[in-house]
Amino acid sequence: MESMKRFFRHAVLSYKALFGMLDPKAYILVMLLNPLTQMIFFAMLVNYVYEGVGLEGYVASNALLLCVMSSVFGMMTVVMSDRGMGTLQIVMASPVNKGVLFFARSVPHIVNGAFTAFLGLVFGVLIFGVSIPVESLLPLLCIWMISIFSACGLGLILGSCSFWTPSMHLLSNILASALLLLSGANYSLSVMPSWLSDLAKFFPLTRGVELTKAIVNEGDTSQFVRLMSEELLLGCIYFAISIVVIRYAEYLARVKGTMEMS
Amino acid sequence: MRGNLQAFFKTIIVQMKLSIARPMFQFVIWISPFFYATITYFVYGGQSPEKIFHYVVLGSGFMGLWTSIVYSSASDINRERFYGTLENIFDAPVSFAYIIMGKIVGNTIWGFISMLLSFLYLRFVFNLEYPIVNPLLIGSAFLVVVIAISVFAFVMALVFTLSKQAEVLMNFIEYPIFLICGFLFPITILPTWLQPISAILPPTWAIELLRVVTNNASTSAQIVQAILVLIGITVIYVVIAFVAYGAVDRKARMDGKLGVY
Repeated sequence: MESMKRFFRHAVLSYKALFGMLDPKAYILVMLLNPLTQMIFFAMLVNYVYEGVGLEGYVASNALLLCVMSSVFGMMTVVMSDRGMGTLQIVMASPVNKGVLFFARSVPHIVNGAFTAFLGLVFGVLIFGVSIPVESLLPLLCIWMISIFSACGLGLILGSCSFWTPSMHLLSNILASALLLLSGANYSLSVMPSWLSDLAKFFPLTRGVELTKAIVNEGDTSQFVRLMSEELLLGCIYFAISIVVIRYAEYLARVKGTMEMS
Repeated sequence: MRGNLQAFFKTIIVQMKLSIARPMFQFVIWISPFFYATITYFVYGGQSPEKIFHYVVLGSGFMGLWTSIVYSSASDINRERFYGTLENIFDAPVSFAYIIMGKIVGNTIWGFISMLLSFLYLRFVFNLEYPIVNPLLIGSAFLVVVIAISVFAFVMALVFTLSKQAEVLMNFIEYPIFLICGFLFPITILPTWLQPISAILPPTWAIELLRVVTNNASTSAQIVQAILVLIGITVIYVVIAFVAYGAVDRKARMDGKLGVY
């Protein structure tokens, strides 16, 4: 019980440390308004090109994509913020289980990603006048939480790279752009070359976007169990890989003496 | 004057070397154009060749150009502040305006390189057909666009000089400009209350000029009108830049907080 309390206490503290020093308007601009303008931009684009066909699905899919701000850029800070503040060596030298520690730090980003995505959906509904069936909200919540969990797993693998390299902005932007491209949020996966759509299956959010479109546009939940099981499995694999990568990165950082590199 | 101009041209070269050494800027110049172009092509894939050229080729190219400005010209002031060198270049015998303008032109050249990469990628990977246009006309149009975008970036850089939230603003202004200036769709589909804002922003008219110049159906009158509109709005921004520069200079000296990060 005490370990669970410690887990959540650490999750809350690390999140507060990340944003507590910022002005509230900085949080609103970066974590809320910036993703919302992205969602409005893409929704306007697809509304123009597809003349309103399937707009509900595109609005909801773009709302889900807003979680990238948390799952990629937020997760990157899980390791990088300590390096920036010069506390990474202390954290890594502490006797605590690093896998549990970094997973605890991921939890607020999963919750924050879901919050931003749902806020995006609310704004999308209000701005574009689309209607989302009430009965689809619960499946959507489930799909989005699993998809964001999976995306955060990949984000943590990326975050572990900050043990080795100071070029995290380069890597995080490549991953964020790749998720936008491969998720199919703004087009059908069938327009991609087959090798690209095959590659997309190994990335998070692709299945979440596919299910979101199916549920919001057609009320079709027939693929729900299969796709969400795959997405959950993908997320668990990502987190498992991230723990291994963090351990290896920690070893390399000790050997090469790059842990304090900024 | 000669010293200022020398500093201006030297700054362009130094800035181009410094900017491209940053990993984030490397992403913006070498990688992001491919993402923008591919995503836009997938969205517009089934549309007419004319629409694809105007919105995929020009639009995604302009997205790359704008992103390069956002993550360079607009943020260079903040970077100098972070390095602790902002006060030095502000008080140097060479005019601060020439230094900033040199930085902006250097970054804008990189932005056009990223735009060119996007054009080549779409031409050779997706086999898109490009219209044949008068080289002198397109060259002149690009020159006017470079000047207009540079002046706009200068005004933004001045605003960011005084703001302590420059990095936050830098991250925020990317998509709103994509949206409001109609890079990927006509501004007529925007809500009517938003269209006057589009009309006062130079990027709107810069991309419009390139669309008019590359449209074989455009008349001479339409081309002249598009050039004059962009020159006119650029002149207005030059006046704003002069006034704002004086105001920023006074405020920075009076407050004495230029280097406060």
